Amino acid sequence: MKISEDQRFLALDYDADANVHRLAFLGSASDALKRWGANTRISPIWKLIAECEPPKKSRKRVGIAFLGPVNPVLIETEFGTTIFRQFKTGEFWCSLGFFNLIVSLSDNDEFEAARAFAEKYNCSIELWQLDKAGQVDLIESARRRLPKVANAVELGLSSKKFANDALADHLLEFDTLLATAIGRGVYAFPWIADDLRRLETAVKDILFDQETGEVISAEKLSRVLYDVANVNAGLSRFVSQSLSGTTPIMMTECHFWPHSLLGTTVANASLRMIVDYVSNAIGRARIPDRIKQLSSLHYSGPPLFNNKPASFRDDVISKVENLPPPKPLINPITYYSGRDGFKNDSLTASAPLASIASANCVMWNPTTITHELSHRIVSPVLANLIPLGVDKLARDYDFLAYGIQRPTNYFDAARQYLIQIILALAFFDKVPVSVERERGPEALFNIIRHYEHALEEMMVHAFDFLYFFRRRPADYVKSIWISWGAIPNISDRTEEYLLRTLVALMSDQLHMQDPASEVRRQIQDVLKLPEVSSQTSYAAEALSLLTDPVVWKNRTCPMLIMRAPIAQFVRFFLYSERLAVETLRDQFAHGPAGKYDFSPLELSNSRFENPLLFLQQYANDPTPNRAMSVWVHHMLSFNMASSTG
Amino acid sequence: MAAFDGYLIAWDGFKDAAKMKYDEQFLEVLGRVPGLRPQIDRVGKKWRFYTLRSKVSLLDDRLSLSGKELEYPVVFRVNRETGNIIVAAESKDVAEHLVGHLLNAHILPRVRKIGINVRNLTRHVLVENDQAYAITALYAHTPSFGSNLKTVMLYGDDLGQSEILLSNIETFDSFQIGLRSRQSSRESARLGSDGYLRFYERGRGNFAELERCLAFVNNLNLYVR
Repeated sequence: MKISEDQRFLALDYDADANVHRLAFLGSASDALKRWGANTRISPIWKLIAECEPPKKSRKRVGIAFLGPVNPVLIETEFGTTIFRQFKTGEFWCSLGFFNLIVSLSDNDEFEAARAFAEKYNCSIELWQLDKAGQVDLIESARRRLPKVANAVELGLSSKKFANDALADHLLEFDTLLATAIGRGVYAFPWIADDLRRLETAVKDILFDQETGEVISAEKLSRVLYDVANVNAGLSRFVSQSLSGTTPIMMTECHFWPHSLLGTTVANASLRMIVDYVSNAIGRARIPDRIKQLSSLHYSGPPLFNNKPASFRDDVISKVENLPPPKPLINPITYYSGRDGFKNDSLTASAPLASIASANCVMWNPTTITHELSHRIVSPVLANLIPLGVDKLARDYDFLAYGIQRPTNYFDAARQYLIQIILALAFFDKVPVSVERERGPEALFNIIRHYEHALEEMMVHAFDFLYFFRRRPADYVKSIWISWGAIPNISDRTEEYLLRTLVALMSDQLHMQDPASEVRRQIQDVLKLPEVSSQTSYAAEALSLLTDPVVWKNRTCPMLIMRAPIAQFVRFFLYSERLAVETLRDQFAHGPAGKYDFSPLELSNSRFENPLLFLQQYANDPTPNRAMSVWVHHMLSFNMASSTG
Repeated sequence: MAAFDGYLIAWDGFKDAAKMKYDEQFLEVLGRVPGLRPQIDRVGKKWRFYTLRSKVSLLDDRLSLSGKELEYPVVFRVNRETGNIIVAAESKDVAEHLVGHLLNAHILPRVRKIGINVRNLTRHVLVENDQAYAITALYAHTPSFGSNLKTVMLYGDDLGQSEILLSNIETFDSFQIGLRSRQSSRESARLGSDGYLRFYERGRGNFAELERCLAFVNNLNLYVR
């Protein structure tokens, strides 16, 4: 069963005077806008093409079955070549909503067949009868029967005593949002209740000291308010996007108005599947925990800066043993936002609204979220290695700042290396504070503050490239530069972005004699491609920094050489070929090249494991294509073998 | 000894097994598939032998020169407890054609392949002590090496005893495994993550080694549906 490019709109209107709902199938959104009323709601739908020929003469539509969430291919699996004998209108549609399969019905037997299908495949169903004028009679609404989710969450953080009224209000909002999410979510996907349960625990951990059980202190209040407000904002969008358009459809409207009738459940589910996969795969590697435990690994070499380690293939972090017991992994609540775009917070993650309709193209496909999720790993690693605070720096100042003393374990080797990288950058950049090294810890603290953002970004780029982009320079450069093309007014940062890219690629070229020239060539090759240069004006600016021999020799190359140790650091301390398998593998990919054999737009019963590999193979188009985007979201929502270990 | 290639598949059309056994139900629907006829001279209780007739060669793109239909032996096995079905032929192309084009064009609901979690199966056989099976073949992707190294294929009597596999298994993502019963010197079966099976007929109608192998996988709960 194939998703066609034939996009229509379902428009539902409520006539308050006559107290009736009317449904129309419209050719375009502008057809809906011409007749838009106070209660109009629409959703785009795409016609499904069955493998067998439809009848030349089809019967008239007298009703509609809304079914979902369900893999639409199952209706063809169930009825095969008899599908048009069973449903004589020959009309099957899919949407991105909670009810993602829509079937036009022509008689009572077909109503019964739709009921039996919902029963067999355990999905919700809503049956509408239509008269000639499109007037709607709701004749049945049945929710799918998921396993009981009793006591999914406590639902009562707001009932706890908190001295601060603002916090109490934030928590009341959280509780009510959570209650709504559970109330609707249990009829959508089984994972929703699990995610929400873990979210509530995580919010509880923010409110109470995990060791003493005491309520958070007054000085932490503003941070907690910020965190809870952020969770509420994410959860609110999650509910209004993912859990709208549930049954009864007429009563639950989605606030992303192009999908106000049926919601965007399938698109939200696909985003969640990606985030879940990445969070779990990289979370299981426990990189921040391993970095902490590097102190138990004996190191006998010289200080690392200026003494290139004998081999950058030591796979240091996989050698760490005696890790503390793992903490439960928390899936951030995912949502789409036009304003937040790709954004990562402690308990939420977002992608741009454009990713709903354009998930097939490089500029908007959700792969970019791996960059945001990489911050979740790199940020705590840096927090562990670089003690922030003048007092803390003062304790090891000589060891860290002068870099002469030999470290005795890998943790000390790593943090000394990192501080030396920062100091060298400051010296090279002639940062004013750098010349005042004799001022001691305070000056060092200021230098760290000056570089911490840039350092984290470069490390995140290298991490993202190594762990999520299969060390493929062309895929990585194309993905990040085209996605930057969507951001306006960043010309003044082209050089900074180019350096991040160079550093990322250098993390895989450290064995080369002249890695700078090699990564320069790799980037040039991609930025010259018409499919890249046509989508981002920044490509031409970056190319000029690479191709002008004077600029390269006197500016770009020296800046890269100074940042090369960052690439070395990530490769040596954060990357492990053993651990990276978790994020890169898929036993359901075929052949020596490890590719899938799905046909674009063709819905399937077959499983795959790795959403990133799937996106790299199928969400590569230069331009948005709505039908392809719908296919990508459906495949990610319904075909992932997430239960396999 | 004939080698068979095939797939493990599931069918959602089974009705109450108390009224009619799963294998009988499926054999009944097989009667609807044109070109597929039971072999008169081969009657098995668990394994059912059929002949698939085709005017077009299923092994290459030639037409039958004589104008006669070409015949391909195929076998079916329906597990009475689980309803899982094995479909196989003497060539993978014929098995693919049978599942993808014939069964799914004439049987409703359509059949689906059952995947096998080869990754976890490999780990289990390597790590657990007192294994009933040795590994004779392993195909694996090596995704964390980038494009420097993409795939490895290993063959031997007992790969689990080789340091090259033991020390690198964490970087391998295996997708096909060959297993040998430790009581035998020959390979029992090859299992693929996409439900692919390669197995051998040991004496007329004897597929016991494959059955034991699949029971082993099923007991480990490594089918992916």
